[in-house]
Amino acid sequence: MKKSILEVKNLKKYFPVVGGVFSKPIAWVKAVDDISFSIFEGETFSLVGESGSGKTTTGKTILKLIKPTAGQIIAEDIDITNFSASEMRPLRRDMQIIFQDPYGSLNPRLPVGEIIREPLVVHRVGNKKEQEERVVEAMQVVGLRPGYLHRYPHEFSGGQRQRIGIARAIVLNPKFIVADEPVSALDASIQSQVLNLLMDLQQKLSLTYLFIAHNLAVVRHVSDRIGVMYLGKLMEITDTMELFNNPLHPYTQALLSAIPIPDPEIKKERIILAGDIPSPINPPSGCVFRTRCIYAQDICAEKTPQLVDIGNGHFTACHFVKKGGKTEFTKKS
Amino acid sequence: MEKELLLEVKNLKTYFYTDDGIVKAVDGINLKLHKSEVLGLVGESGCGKSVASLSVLRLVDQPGKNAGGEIIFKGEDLLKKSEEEMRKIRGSEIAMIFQEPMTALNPVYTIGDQVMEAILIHQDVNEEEAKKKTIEMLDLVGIPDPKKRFNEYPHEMSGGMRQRAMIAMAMSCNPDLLISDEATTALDVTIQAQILELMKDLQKRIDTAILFITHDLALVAEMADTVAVAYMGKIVEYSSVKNIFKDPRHPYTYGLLKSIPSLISKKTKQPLPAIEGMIPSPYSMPKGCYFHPRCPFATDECRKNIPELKEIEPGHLVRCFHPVENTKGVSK
Repeated sequence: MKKSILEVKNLKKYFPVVGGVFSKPIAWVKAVDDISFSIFEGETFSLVGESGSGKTTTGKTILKLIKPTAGQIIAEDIDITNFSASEMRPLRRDMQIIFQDPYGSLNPRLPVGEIIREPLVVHRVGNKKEQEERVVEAMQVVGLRPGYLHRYPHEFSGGQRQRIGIARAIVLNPKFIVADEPVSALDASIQSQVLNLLMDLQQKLSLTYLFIAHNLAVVRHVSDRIGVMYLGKLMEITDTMELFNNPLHPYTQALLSAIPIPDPEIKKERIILAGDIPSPINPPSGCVFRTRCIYAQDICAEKTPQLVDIGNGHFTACHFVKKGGKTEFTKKS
Repeated sequence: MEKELLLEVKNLKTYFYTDDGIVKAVDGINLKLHKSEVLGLVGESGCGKSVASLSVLRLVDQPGKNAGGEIIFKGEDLLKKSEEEMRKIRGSEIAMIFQEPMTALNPVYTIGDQVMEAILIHQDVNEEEAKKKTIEMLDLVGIPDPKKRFNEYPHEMSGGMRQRAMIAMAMSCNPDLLISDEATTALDVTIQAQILELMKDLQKRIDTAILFITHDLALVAEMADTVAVAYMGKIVEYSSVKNIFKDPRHPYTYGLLKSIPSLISKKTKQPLPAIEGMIPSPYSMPKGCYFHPRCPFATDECRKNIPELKEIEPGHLVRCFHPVENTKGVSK
């Protein structure tokens, strides 16, 4: 039995939309709306989905960087949902984050050495000399020359800055890292370098990743399991190969078919979804995907499908996907 | 059958004269685009692909300047045209769609007014006819309820809808050449699929040639007939789309294709064959071949001399002293 390092149960995060003279909430953005999943020790679990699907909010809420509206977050059998900031502090050593934007996520006024050392200072790990040694070690691990210690972020390229962000994340020797679109701002030739680094570090430091990305080819390469999000809800969770070989949810099928393939000789049948993602302020009733789904029936508007295990840890949330993966789709008339 | 040549860029140079030195953003580029052909111009940031497209429209701002070359469009050199003549060409014969539909559209005018403006400027029609044509165009690009949408402002539309409006504007005067600069980069993958489908459809219908600029090799595979790969202001490989993906001969193209995570391979969670190092600073370009510091095949010759773009087989041009052999199985 695989040990879960993190469990998320019925997590919700609603952001208020304020208006009127008294700035009262007049509506709620349902960024994350009742999702549950587990992340096993040592694996890379990925959340994929388009913009507005709630994947980043999920990542930040798990780390308690944003307060959840409802639900439970259980880290190594401890319910941390209602932990205060001071209660969270010792746990933060084990839980780190890498951000998408290698420009915005580094303090431009601090030299690189100080940026990487900061987590050690915050958590009072070792004396200054020991801290400096660990900084140098972390820089070497991520492939930055320790000679760059006194340089400032603006002197580095995007790929190198992302390495600085990674060094900062691993300097405390965490167990779990949320990597939020860590390569999407990078050029193709640099992207593969950083992906290799992340996979290498996972091996060396026995890390568990929550990997958040929209590039499905990247996700396929690095993940053990994948969760597909749409409009704040999980549509499908399963092993990487199972998801790509046997996608069962109509949204997953459309999403996978939309990936451009770097081979001019493959012309695939594409499921072109009509319309746009609805607003998370006023999501469709029942199944949130039904407004764009080619198989939607009356029941989809009435009842919200639950995310259920249809066998072998393959979860889907669709009324027409039955146990054992049998589908009963009929095209809308 | 050889199609009619529409655009020929000859040895085009666009340099930026900055306080820190000269940046050769476009450094002697040659491109040929035939009628109704799609030419993919692909490369990473800093390779000069966007500057090249702006140069064709003569829209490069200070401190950028043309530093030589010719842009022959329908037999005439655009670099010799007056500003007024250029204005007539832009938007009517050559149209452009940009990456960011939010900044490319004017926020204080309605979508309809902006599309109509292009029609009123370039076509001999009155306002009523222009409005009718605008609504037709909005409908053609798949904007639902175009009569109502005519009066909406850009901020009221989603990214995908804005990009559709941009395409409506660009196509409204039936241009001979459409320049698409990372037109789908800011969009989600399902919306990207919609927009690409639309562009393909319109391209067939209106018979427009497209200069398709992107950093995404997969999109080039989908859209282009011919591909030019740019690196640091120079074209390093030029061929049919099939050749580029099946038989890439420049080490850079080869390395890029190998480094993209595959959608088929079973070898996931393995190190990707990455290109080492990073692009050089434009202020201190390496001597010899610009790619040599990152090239696994570099020799002394590459460190000393800049290779020419040479035809190594009919229609396949490579700028390299040691083109990659045995490229079998690179495409995934």
